[in-house]
Amino acid sequence: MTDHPGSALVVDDDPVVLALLEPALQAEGLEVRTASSVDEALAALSSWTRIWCCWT
Amino acid sequence: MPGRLGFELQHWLQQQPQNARIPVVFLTQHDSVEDRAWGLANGAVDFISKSLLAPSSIHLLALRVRNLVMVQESQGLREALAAIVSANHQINNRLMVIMSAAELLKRRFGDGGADAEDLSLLDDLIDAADLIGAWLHRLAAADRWQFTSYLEGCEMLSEPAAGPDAS
Repeated sequence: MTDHPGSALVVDDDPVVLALLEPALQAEGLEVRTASSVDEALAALSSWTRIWCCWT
Repeated sequence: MPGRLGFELQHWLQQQPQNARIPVVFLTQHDSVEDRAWGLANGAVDFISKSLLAPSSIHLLALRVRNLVMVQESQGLREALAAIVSANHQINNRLMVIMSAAELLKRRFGDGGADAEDLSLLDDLIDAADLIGAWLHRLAAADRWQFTSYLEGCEMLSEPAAGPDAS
């Protein structure tokens, strides 16, 4: 797992929440993507195969 | 929340077989018991209070997510191992057919005075099938391989006993 970190997609319409969570999750070794709308989240999900956790 | 965005996304995930098992965690502020019940009944694995976003506690929030991801990864590995065991049986059945046919041909050719090159090719076939069989035997117990603790809470896979030599 050290070679293949888990992934998290963080979804929130508040950019402050995204800015807080992205570095915090990265510090725990997770690969992080962010989205601020359902459309952005769906685009991320369709182009990213290793997603384990999704925040809203 | 979870507001419209969270519920809409979760609803969409549940409709997609390839996404239905992505664990969803809601960051919540003042959601009602009804909202929480709906979320948990529809695939949310947890609700975490937005108060944890404070600088003094955000690392706790990140650790909870990391733990969730680790559980999910272990589950994914176990399912992959179970699939290997299932495929193993299918491959092994066909391999038995190949090996029996090769042995039968070798016996027939041997009786009929076939040339040495043909017999050598059959021996190569039988040897290769034997090696494949040894590896299949090793994989047959893949779903019983052990997950053991490794560095920093990560897990590693190890076989309970040594397999055949890959000579």
